[in-house]
Amino acid sequence: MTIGNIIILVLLSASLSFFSFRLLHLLKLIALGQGALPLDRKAHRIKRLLIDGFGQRRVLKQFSGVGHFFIFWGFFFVSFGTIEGLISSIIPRFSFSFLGDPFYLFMNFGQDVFGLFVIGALLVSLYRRFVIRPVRMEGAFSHTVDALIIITLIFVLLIMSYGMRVIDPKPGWTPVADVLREFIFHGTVSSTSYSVAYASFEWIHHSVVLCFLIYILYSKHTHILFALPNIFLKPDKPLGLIEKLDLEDETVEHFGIQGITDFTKKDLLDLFACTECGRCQEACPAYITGKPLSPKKVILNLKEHLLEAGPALLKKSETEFSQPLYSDVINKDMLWSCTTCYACEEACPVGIAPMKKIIGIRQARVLMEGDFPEEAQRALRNIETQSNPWGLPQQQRGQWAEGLGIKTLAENPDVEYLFFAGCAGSYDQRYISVSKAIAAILQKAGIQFGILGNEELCTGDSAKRIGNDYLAQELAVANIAIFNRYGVRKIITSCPHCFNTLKNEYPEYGGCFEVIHHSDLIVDLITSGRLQPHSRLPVDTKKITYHDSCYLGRYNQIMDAPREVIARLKGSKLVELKRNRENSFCCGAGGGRMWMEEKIGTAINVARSREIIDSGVDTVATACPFCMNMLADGIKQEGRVEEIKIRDIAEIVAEAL
Amino acid sequence: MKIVVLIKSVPDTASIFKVAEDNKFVVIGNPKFIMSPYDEYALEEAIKVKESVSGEVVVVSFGDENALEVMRTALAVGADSAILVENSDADSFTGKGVSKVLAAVIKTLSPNIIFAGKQAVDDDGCQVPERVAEILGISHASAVTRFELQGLTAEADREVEGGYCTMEITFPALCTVEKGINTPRYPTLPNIMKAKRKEIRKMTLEELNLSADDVRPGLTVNSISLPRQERLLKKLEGEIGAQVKQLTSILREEKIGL
Amino acid sequence: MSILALIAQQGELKSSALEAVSVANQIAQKADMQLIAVYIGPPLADQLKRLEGFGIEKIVVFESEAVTYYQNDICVPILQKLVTEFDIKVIIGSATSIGKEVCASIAAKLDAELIQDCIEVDWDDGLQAKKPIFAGKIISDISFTNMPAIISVRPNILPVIRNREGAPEIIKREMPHVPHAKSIKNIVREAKSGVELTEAKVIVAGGRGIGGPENWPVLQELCDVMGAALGASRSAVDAGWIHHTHQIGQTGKVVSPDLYIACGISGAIQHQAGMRNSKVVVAINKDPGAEIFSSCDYGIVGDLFEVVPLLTKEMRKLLS
Repeated sequence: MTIGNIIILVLLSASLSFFSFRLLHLLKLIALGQGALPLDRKAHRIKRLLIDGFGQRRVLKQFSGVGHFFIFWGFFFVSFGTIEGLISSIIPRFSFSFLGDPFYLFMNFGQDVFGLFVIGALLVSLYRRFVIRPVRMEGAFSHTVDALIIITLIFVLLIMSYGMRVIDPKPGWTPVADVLREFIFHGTVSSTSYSVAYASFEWIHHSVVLCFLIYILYSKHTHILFALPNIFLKPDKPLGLIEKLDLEDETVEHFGIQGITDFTKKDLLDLFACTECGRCQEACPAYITGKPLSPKKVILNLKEHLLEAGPALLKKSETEFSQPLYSDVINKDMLWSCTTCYACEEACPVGIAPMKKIIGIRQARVLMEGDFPEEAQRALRNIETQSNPWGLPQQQRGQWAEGLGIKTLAENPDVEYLFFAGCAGSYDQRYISVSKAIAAILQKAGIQFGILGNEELCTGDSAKRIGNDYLAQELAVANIAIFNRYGVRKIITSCPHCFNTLKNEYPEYGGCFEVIHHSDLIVDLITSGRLQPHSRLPVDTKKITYHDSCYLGRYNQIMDAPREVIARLKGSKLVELKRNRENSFCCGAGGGRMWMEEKIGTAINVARSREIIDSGVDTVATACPFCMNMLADGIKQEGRVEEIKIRDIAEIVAEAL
Repeated sequence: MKIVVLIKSVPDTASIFKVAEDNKFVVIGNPKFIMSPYDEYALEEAIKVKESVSGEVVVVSFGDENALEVMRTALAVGADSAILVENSDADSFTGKGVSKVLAAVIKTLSPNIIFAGKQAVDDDGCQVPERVAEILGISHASAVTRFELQGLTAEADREVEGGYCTMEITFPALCTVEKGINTPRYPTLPNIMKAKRKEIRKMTLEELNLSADDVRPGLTVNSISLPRQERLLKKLEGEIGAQVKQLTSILREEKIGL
Repeated sequence: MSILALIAQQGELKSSALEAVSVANQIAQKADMQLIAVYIGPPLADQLKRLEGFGIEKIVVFESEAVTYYQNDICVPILQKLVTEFDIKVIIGSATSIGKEVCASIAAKLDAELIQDCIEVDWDDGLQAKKPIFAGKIISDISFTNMPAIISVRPNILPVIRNREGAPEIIKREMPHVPHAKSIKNIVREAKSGVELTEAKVIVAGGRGIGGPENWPVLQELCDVMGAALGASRSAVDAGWIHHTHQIGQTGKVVSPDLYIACGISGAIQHQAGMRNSKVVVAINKDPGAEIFSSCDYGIVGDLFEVVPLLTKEMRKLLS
């Protein structure tokens, strides 16, 4: 061992100690969270890790993701060489060649080629960050400096390793180094005559690596370590499920998220997995329309809070003492601007869940403090007394079906399907026409169905997402009791919010039913030939588009059925909106926002309506009462009522019967 | 500071009302009982006062067993204790009788302030709280829109035609409150749970030494009628000018909004 | 046996007071009782003349600049004395906020029954009255079985009828001194710009059909004529045409006027949630398919800029 070897060994040990110390600290912070990390359905998790993690599926949704793909894989290869280089600086002539020729040679090739790609990607990312400056990347000045430091470190590291390989070729095909060598030295290099240069490269390279090790866990680049585990640990439950709180547990002192340690371990892991790429922010309807909410900011604020409060929390971990997050970390307007559209979680490449954290904090505000927007309180009070958000008489819930020859389950429980009309389908004059259209379709197709009439209750979607789990649970239990009384097995819904709650949340209360949204049902009926609509859309419809409901599309992956319904009607030209399917843009009504005022920025429904107007269609098809209501308002706001009609797909089909 | 709040359990006015066959009783199918909305404001005001000076809030009600749920709500919102004078025939009492019952209970409590809603939205009687104050011989103010404690007295605003007046109230006193005096709070879950375990004290007329004569109504209901339940959905016809004339004559004849 | 009419204590005779006196006159005639009136408040001077023609035999007047507003601690003892002095069997007041307070207080003192807010009063071997209950959803027809009987009459419902000859005898009395009267600090008479929406008896509301903020005067004029409050739908508020305080609907104010005139409002459910408790709904909209027509009492299909000014003109004629 030379002096040089020893110095490297000492420095490496120091650097690794620093790294481990910090890593341990972060892991301890994550461990402050509640519950265990989810590890069920491993095969599924591994598959997701391969596709979303190693395959970078969600990163690649944007073109700029290609750069990240190369950096990710470049990093993978380069690390291999870096480790080899570090060890060989301590144990001379060490190499990984013992791993076998084809693999070792492939890794050398990978390092050489991906190194170049990484340099290219880094230059592009510098250009993007400092010249193009996408909004989603904006943040504190320190974050930009952080990015600059990391990019510089990687850049220097790559240049140095090329320098080393040019002077001292590695086995195998290394085209980039070979070309460089040819270009600079016109052939072979006598490594002895360039030993000083080689040593300098090696020292710089190693210094950079050691600095990188120390720096990385203090920067946003913790994602290098935590992103893959985060993808692996992402909850494997239906997307539309907000898990019920255990309100019966008498030992629980509070419900919902008050302090940072009320989050689960996975929630806290999220904070370190975040790269601040801002894809969530770019997709967030609240942010885009000028509200103070950004999912990225939610995560960053929580992370900053955890790092700040962490040391104190670790000392008092036994007492579970933590400062309230509201309103310093997450303020009122951030909290109540969320439409729970799920776009942020859909966009996140590494499986972070900002929306569910927001709902957790809402639960604490509502259940523990009774503190939430007054208009939302009115809606919940109405649901409490009359089981619908408008406070219309419970005893008129079934009135919409009068004279249509529809029986209630009380009159005839011996039917295949329950048609659950929902609050809007029962009370909103506009949406009653959709209920009637669905009923007409079912009757035409000879489906045996019934309704609950005045016995039907609100499913509790709004209550749940506003944060009143108590009310949501009461409604769920009461509805399930009614379903069971009539032996209900299959439920048809017209409202995606009812659909999601019945399908994904009721099983938690033992209510397992086959829940079918009317768009799926209509496609089935047409496919099976039980329904034969004329081959025409109404004459005044020439260009039609479909607006995806968040709760149908992103939440429950029902995106094809409504489109297919339209496609089945000849003479229709379906125009896609700019943002469609899983990237669709919210109407602004979800998460209880339907019952609140929208006072900051542009109204979300107006923003979406403008997109519809710009698409040049004369009809928007919807499959959700909230979307229909919000878009009708938005289009009215833009003064286009005369030109653009809003129709539910059921109405379009019913008209073609 | 001891504060009493008079509350009443009433059917939600969004219920569907029907008239019984004898034309004397209101029939409500599957009614939901709520705290009369004005009482919610009264309760909130009481809790606010309590929070500012410390003290206790007692809610008092006269009604049948349906009132229990509403009393639980009051406890969940922040009342410390609740007294229900239970009588299955409470609906047949007039304001005269009810006020005697409530006054008899309150006498035993000797509160500093009594709050009540300016009216209950079932019989819209608009008299029980004022009567209670008169029976107890304490001063009162109706339809208060602002209440502010100032040491041993309070300052309150009430509406008078064309404006409002501010008055100084010395205790004990009773105030009925108007809509908008405050924003009633939404009960929190822990308080709902606690309220479930709190005892609601029940009393009977006998315990209050009230005889049938004391509370005998001096009124009889001849009949009740539903003006109408549904909208008329009448589209006026003819020229615009004629339609407008038709409308104004309807409004005049029916005395609507004039 | 006499009837006592309470004259509203506002320093100025309001029509509500005259309406109550008219009712008292009818009952006095039918029941064959003498009609006594009482006034407590600041000097009425010439206005006393306006009380002629109602068959009032005596008006007992307690005038004082200091008593600008009904105070139960001053007035109730006065009324109690008059009841004995004139053998009063029926007391009739007006159901204003203050009037109701007086009636409730004196009812308690006399241990008498009271019906507030009557919309019809009659005498058939005893006093009878009709009053709305359950927020007006039901009308109850009630008879008094005991005397004295007290009622307050809802303002602006019953007519002012002068059908008797002769002027009342005016008995001026000294305002009694009440040592511990509740002190009234000040009275603010502010001409509030517009009526409070949630308390308004009549609301004229505009929606998108208004076309722009410059057109509110069209509705405002009708409001002024009818003493109505101005409301707006959410879309008119969202468009920035009017302040949020005017918004009626699920996320705005919930109102329950006797008359709601919706102008250029389509009437989607979010709006209906705020005004469905209105007793009578009039809809004016140029779109015959507007949802508001499926939940209104009287609908006029037409341009609001044509209909509303005509309506204003007609109402002005009617009310003058």
